[in-house]
Amino acid sequence: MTKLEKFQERFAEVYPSFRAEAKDDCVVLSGVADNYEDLVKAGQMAAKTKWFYGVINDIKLKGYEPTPIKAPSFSDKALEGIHVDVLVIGGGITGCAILRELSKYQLSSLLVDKEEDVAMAASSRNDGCVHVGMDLHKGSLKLKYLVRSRKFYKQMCKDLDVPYRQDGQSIGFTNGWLKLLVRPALKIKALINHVPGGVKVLNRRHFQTIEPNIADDVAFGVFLPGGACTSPYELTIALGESAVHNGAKISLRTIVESMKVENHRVFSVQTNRGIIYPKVVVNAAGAYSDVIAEMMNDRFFTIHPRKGTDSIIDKAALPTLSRTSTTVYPKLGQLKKTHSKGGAVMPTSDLNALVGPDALETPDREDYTTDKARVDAMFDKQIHAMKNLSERDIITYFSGIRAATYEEDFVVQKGKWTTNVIHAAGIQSPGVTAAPAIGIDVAKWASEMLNAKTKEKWDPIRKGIVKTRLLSNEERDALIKKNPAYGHIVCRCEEISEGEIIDAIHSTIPPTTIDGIKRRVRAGMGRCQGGFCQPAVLSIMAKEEKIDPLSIGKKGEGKLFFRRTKEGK
Amino acid sequence: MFVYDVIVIGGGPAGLAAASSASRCGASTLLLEREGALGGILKQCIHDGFGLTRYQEKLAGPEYANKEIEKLNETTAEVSLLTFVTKIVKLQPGFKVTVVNPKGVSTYTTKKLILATGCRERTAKQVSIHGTNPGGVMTAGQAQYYINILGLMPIKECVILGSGDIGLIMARRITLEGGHVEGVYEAKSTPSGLARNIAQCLTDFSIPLHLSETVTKVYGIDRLEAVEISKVDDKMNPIPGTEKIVKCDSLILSVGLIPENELAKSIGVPLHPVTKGPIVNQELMSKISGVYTCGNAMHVNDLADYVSESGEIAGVAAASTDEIAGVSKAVTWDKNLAYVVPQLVDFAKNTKDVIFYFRVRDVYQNKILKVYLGDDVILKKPFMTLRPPEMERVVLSLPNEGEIKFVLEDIAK
Repeated sequence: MTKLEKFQERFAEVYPSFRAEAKDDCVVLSGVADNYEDLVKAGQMAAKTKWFYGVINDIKLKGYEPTPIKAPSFSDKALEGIHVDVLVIGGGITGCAILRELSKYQLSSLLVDKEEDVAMAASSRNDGCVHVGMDLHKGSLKLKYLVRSRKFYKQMCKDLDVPYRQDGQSIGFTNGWLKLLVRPALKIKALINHVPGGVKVLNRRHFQTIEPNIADDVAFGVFLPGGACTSPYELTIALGESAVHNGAKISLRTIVESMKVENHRVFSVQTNRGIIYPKVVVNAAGAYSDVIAEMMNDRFFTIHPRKGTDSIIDKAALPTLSRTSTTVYPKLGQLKKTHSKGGAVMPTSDLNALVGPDALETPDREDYTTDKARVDAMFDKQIHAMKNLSERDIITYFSGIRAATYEEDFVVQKGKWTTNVIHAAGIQSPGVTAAPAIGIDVAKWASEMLNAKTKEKWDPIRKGIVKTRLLSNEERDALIKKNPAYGHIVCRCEEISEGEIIDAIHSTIPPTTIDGIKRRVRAGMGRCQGGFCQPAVLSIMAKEEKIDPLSIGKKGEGKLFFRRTKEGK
Repeated sequence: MFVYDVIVIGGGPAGLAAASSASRCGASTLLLEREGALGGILKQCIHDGFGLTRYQEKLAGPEYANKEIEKLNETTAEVSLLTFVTKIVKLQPGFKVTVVNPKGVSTYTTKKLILATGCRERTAKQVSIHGTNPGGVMTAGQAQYYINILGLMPIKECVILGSGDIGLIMARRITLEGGHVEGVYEAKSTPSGLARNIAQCLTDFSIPLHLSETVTKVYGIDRLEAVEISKVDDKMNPIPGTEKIVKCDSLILSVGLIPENELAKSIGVPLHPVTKGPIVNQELMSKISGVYTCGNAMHVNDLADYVSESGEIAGVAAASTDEIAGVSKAVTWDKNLAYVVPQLVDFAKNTKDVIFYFRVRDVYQNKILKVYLGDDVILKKPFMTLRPPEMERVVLSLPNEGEIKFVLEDIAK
């Protein structure tokens, strides 16, 4: 009996209604599942063998009509017939990091994304954690790219003028006796995983100097000084802008519809804006990366979307909460093996507190809905870490989708069957941390495929939009004297000036929606959630872009207004 | 030496009255306003009903604001528009106020500070609305700004959640503007707005008011497509199985106002947990000496007239050079009352004709309000009906020092 036959036998015992068949060295699962849990578990069972090259889970869910992909409603010929060296599909942090690295080579690169902006999926629906990799498996691509990225992350954020705060990460333990076990185990793990900053095991008194508001029953704590955070959307935008500054191109509202694959090569890519002829295609399509791989005739993995919800807490409450990304290790007996660290209470790079994320398997790749019960559950859990945590301080919440594979690792490699493709797929946590190093490898492979040399001149520096609220009075005064628009505060909650909004409107990847402005300068991210500033932002957009306010929307293709009001007489 | 005797922060009705009365009392006064024009939210309130008490006439919001601005213009008070306060530092005595405006960054010192910073609207996320996160979900004040100031119509078919006054006013405004209001939904079992607004804005326009029902979910990706509405139990928890879907492109929220006291908090002004405004004495001075408050920053009012009244009290008091602070006695109230403002009385100050504002916790019929000063009942006032949305006002003279207590009793007793 072969290994495969043995697996098939075991699989048939557990899931008699599903089939498992080999395709090359991958496994293809098929059948119809009565519930989504079985569908996911079947995939996980196949991945557990570890010797399949990949799990292709084609099991259908009974009665489930897949939600159609959210696509631009229009088509044009803007890209018709163009030839590029490298086409990157997906404008998340991974795609943008790849594009920036590609811009170092003598190549023509184009990134396409179906949304109206970059960072529209997991890269904005994200806590911005820059992880230390304590919990990752040795030998995983997650750990490999995390360790590489951490070596230059801080400098990169500086070059790109985006926030980077290294506040650390903390884990509280309620069982005091665990300390004897935890200390040596974590010290070794930190060495093996090259954890930046190492690990400290602290008694309650010392732990309280780091986390003064930690719950009363925490006996001791683990502190990881290397834990950091960034603004994931600001960083993604900055990576994209830096790439464009260095000659790369980005086409938004551009969805890949199909590909022509001939002789194990992608020949052309059909989009809603015309057919593109690329020499190399990079798959950085996040939750849709297996769909893109399928179009490439190169699918050996499956994304099972995993939703996470984060809540954002009013800045005013942060001093009563955590100073580092903090969670409490569950009491023994409550321990359940999950694929998520189970969330935390953490300061964001803009000094709100963030609570989350949780983890929920969902069949819908773009299910960004939130649910009160899940927010409640997250707070019930994290109150065991931060005693002052209160849902009353919530100013907003949102969900994101992790692009998880059944192997629970990144897929960063050249095509298996198709020779001119590269996958940077299945990127989930710690994707924000790992993406920059992934970009380096992917760009290197693409340049090798195309025999491209590096450019003689490449500018690592990207200047962000000035944050007038962070300037000294003297600097701010000087800036306002040069341009009075920096002295007109439009967003009262976040102290954002008209000048900053104008800068955002004219930035390298110009935002086209109110939310696009928000992601760039934070207008509308405060406690009033845009109630006061949205009309002002709208008016500034209309004036600066010389467009009709009726054409402006909050997000996507939705418009804010239907018509002008009746005219008075 | 101070640059000003009084700096007033906020140029709405409270700040306008505070600045003009402080200036009339001889204080050198500066009024700071972050917008480009004075008047605050009154600018967008084009409906009438303002000024009935203060001017004995029915005025629209901008008309009322103009009267207040004219009064201010008669004084020597200075006004700085488009000016945003970034920092207040307490000095001993006085304050240093740092501001940003299109001219640059400036700092001023002042003897007294009046915080007339108004209030903000509670948002969809603050009342736990879940589902998708589409465009088309907006507060009533935001819809009002779009329609009345920008002349842009953000609504075709809408649901209004919350029966607060702005929501009721907007139900009428949207209807007059050619939009359709499917209904006003209120999670509480009684309306949150004034009875006159229910009659004039809903009944007169045949807009249904659904009590004990709330929006539990929203649908739509880029723009709102529908809302789910559920009945709620007496604890305002949704009752499973009562859900209905209402198609609409807009959800207008009128679910409460929160006094805006971030600046107050930054200098350690203690706030009251119910009013969410500073705890004040009869001169509307907070527990931080020299810091006064008025209007909606102090407690959410339902009439602009009383906002102006409180501004005047704060302005006059702040302009007085009398620095003696006596022993303040706390005002207490029984469980039928939600709050009383002022919460303190300083018996070293004037105790003649002290204005108290209060709200009740529930709807009551045939009650009598008794105010005790020590063991003496100094006021007995009967009320046919008392409702939480309607702020009440009584004027009391306190001839001697003593504990002040507000008690609501059945009239039969």
